[in-house]
Amino acid sequence: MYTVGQSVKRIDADAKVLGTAQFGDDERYPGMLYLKGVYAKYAHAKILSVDTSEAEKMPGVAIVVTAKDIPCEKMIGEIFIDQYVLADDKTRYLGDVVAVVAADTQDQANEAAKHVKVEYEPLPVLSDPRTAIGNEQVINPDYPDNICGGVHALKGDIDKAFAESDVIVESHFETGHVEHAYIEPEAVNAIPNPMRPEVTITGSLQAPYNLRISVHRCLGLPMSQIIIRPSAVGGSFGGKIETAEAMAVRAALVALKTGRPAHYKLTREESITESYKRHPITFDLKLGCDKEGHIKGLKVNALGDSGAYINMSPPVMYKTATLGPGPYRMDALDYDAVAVITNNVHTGSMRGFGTPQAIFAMENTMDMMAAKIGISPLEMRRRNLLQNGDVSPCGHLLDFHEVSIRSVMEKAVKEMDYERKYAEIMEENRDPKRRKRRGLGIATSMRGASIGADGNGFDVSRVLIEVMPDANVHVNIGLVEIGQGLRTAQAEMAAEGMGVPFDRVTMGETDTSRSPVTGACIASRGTMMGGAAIKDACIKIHKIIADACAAVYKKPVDDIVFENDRVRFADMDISFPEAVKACYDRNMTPMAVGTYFVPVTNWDGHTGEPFYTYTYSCHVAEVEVDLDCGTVEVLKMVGCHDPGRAVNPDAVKGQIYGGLTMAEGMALFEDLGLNRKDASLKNRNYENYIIPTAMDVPENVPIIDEHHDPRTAFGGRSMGEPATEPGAGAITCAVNMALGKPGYLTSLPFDLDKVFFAGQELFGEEA
Amino acid sequence: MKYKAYYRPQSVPETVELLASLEGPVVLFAGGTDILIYAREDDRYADSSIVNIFGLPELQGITLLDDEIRIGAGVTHTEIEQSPIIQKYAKVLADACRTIGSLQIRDHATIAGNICNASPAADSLAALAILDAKIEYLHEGKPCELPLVDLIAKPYKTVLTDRDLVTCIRIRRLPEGTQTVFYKLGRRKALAISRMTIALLAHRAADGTVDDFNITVGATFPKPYTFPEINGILLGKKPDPARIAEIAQAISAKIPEIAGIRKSTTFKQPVCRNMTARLLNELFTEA
Repeated sequence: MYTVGQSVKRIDADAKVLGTAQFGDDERYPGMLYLKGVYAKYAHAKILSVDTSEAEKMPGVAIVVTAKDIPCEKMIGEIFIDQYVLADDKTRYLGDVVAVVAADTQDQANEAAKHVKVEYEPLPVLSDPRTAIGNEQVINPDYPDNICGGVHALKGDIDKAFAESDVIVESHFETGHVEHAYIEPEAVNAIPNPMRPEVTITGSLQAPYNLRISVHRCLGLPMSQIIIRPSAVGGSFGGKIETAEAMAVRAALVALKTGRPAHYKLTREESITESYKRHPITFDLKLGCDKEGHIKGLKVNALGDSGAYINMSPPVMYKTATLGPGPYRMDALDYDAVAVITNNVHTGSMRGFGTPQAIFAMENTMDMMAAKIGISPLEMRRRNLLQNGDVSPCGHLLDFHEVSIRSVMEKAVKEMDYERKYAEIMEENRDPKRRKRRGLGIATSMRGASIGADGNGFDVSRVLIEVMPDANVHVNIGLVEIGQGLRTAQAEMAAEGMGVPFDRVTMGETDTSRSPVTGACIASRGTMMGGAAIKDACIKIHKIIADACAAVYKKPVDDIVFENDRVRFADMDISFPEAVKACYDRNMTPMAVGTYFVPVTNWDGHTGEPFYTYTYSCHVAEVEVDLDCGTVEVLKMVGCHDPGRAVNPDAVKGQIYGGLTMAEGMALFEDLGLNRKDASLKNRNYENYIIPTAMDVPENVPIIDEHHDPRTAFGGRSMGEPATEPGAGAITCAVNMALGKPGYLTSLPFDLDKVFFAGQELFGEEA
Repeated sequence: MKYKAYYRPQSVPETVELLASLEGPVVLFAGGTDILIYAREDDRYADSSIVNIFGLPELQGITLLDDEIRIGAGVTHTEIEQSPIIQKYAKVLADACRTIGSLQIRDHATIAGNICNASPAADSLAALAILDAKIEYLHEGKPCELPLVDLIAKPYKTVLTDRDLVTCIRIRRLPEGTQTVFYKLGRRKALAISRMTIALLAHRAADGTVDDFNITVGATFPKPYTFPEINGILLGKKPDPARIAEIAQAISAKIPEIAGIRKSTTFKQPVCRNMTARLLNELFTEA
């Protein structure tokens, strides 16, 4: 019996469906203080003074903290330490918090926050990355040209490739800020220990060990006395890392200074103002092909808006440049992706991490090329997709696993009935008077699994597994459940790794005092990295149990097998509980820390092996555009993915359903309404920031196309990001096909007004 | 939510008495689906007495009269949407109410509340306008009445005082065979603030001539309007593509005329013309 590959019921399903799960904002502690942040009045200003005296005298107020109260370092960050927990010398964006008020009730804290007086000297606001580059106004003095990093991916001779091309297409595309739109706004609690300088932090926390470093850095506690226990997390999508961390440090500061628990949650408007977003990126592309449409070379200049803090910008640009070219064969690549510091809301990790934007730009350019050559978008892709033994756009020889993108794409187009529909639509769209016009779009991706070569050497995961005297296999792991179903997948892998039934396995809630330090649950690495650490721990425990069996049963154990709750060696066939009992009888401990790290890959900063392995995906969309009013109806979407091995197929499908919908929002609706004058965001709640409702979701069809990956422990790879990354590309290609002009609309989102005016320009005002 | 005082009277007479006795600003709280959102934005009700009239028995019920339908002021959007009377005799209003917000909002939001909030984007208003809605209310306890188009003065402002209590809305009871259409254009299919709505009703005599017609556009003008002169283009005539185009042209021309030329005009005017033409063509070619 193999547990991996079964759609077992999610272990957190009942608690979440019945409402007994405790989220950060549900928690209450005796003597708890409620916190409220005071936000920057200007996106860029010197702070001349902060006067908290009046606020401190307000009813119920216990303390008001500012940057001056932080005892050690003032800044945090996962890689680049530049984010102020509390704005100190100046404000850098409107989400900066200048002071935090703590009071007996939330109302008291809210009221007192209005009485914190801050004197500012406004500075020029930089809100456009194009003008921020080299601007005399510098936001972070460590980056005097306001450029905070990037990657220049290079392969082959791009000039030669273009010289040898028969057809060249040049294009320009732009994307905007996208909000993660988790249903639960950030909420954290910090509970001081009355016995010693120790704080326990709970709440909506995606990266507990990174938070522990931040608290250690700012407040100076030893790491063992900073205990992070994420609560049930109401969605994250990469979004509950740096913002929640800054909040948690502020809450811990209050808790340690007052000796009282601190409860700190954001309203939706605060969350949208303060939390980082998906990077807006502008792309200039040049694609060269021979006359049959075989790609010779691709040159891209991508400019990302990092916002006020660097956050994850350089690694995001790394994925834009290394994965943006897609799963296509090409002789030469010159992909330069650069991120710029501005006074906009900062940008960082979000499901896809720099690739949904790049795929949108690339796939629309592919369609422009197909039209120029006179072949269908499907044929264009068929002629260029990578296969086994090919070299990837960045120079990676793909000879270590099944390069399944052809199989994946063909399954997706078959489900869409693409070829029949394509012929039908091309025919009906010949009528220039037709007002409702359909279109089809295809987008593909190859997703580097886990962090990639820009993190060569530090991509590690760890787990602690303890087999209890009752043969219960207990797993403590710091890769957190953030709504994706990871705990269940981990339990399935632990059952298979240990050779026991699923119901012997229990999963501890993540607790940094019990689970060993591990990399965060990011970068589509939870299943793959967690699985490999779990396997390592199982192997180590098997060894301990084998030694015990050898001692107790006096038999050779070199052929020992753990399978199906049985342990077999020599002529013995005992149950797993008997084997565990042998262990405890001999005073041996069947407990182990499993560790896995990704082998260092060959990457020189521009070319080579940018990732250890890849996940292949294809989304196909069918849309109908109404020229009379500008609406776009997504009629059907297909998402076909190769997750290596689907650890829990229903959970994989869940990821795909959500990913397709998230892509639809990015493609058609989502717009934060950035005001470039003051860097403010107009659409700060879900009345104005439009995400798809259930009514907007089309027939979505998830397809799993498995090819076990020899480079992963259980053959599986993570599906978080692949599930959404090609979707916006597919939908936008479909809209542009419906408009009869590939690459016509170039900036996201393709909303009502843009589509209407495009129709007007291309087809006239009315039938 | 900050407020001065909160009251929950049990009847209309008690409410009238209470309103007369209160000092300072008063806020009549019906479903609360607008008020609670405003209260979250700022403390605008800090000095107000909140009078909760949700569920007052005299404000309930949908009744069929001889030529009209009486809708209690406290009737919710869900009740209107599901009412057999409205579905049979004023379907355009049921269709309009169905497009508003979410189910949870429609369960609580009342029809008089939607009118008195007077949002230019309110979805019920265009339908109420073409049904010649009249609003009955008590002013200092005395019954008064105003047509909807006169009750709303400008965006978010009616001519009522804060102590006037709307008791019911009377709308036309449409004769059998009347066709109606309610069209809503939003940025998504649910929970969307309308970019534009179109409400229309039409009846044709046995010989095919149009003997009853009323059309208006919502979420576009500062307050509800009807256009007798535009309706006249079709009244007494047989619908044909030229007349339909004339109506579409005329009603879309009202957008810059009434609302002034705004950034949205370049979108709304052609969309209004396109969709009016499409809806009328569909309506008159179907039957």
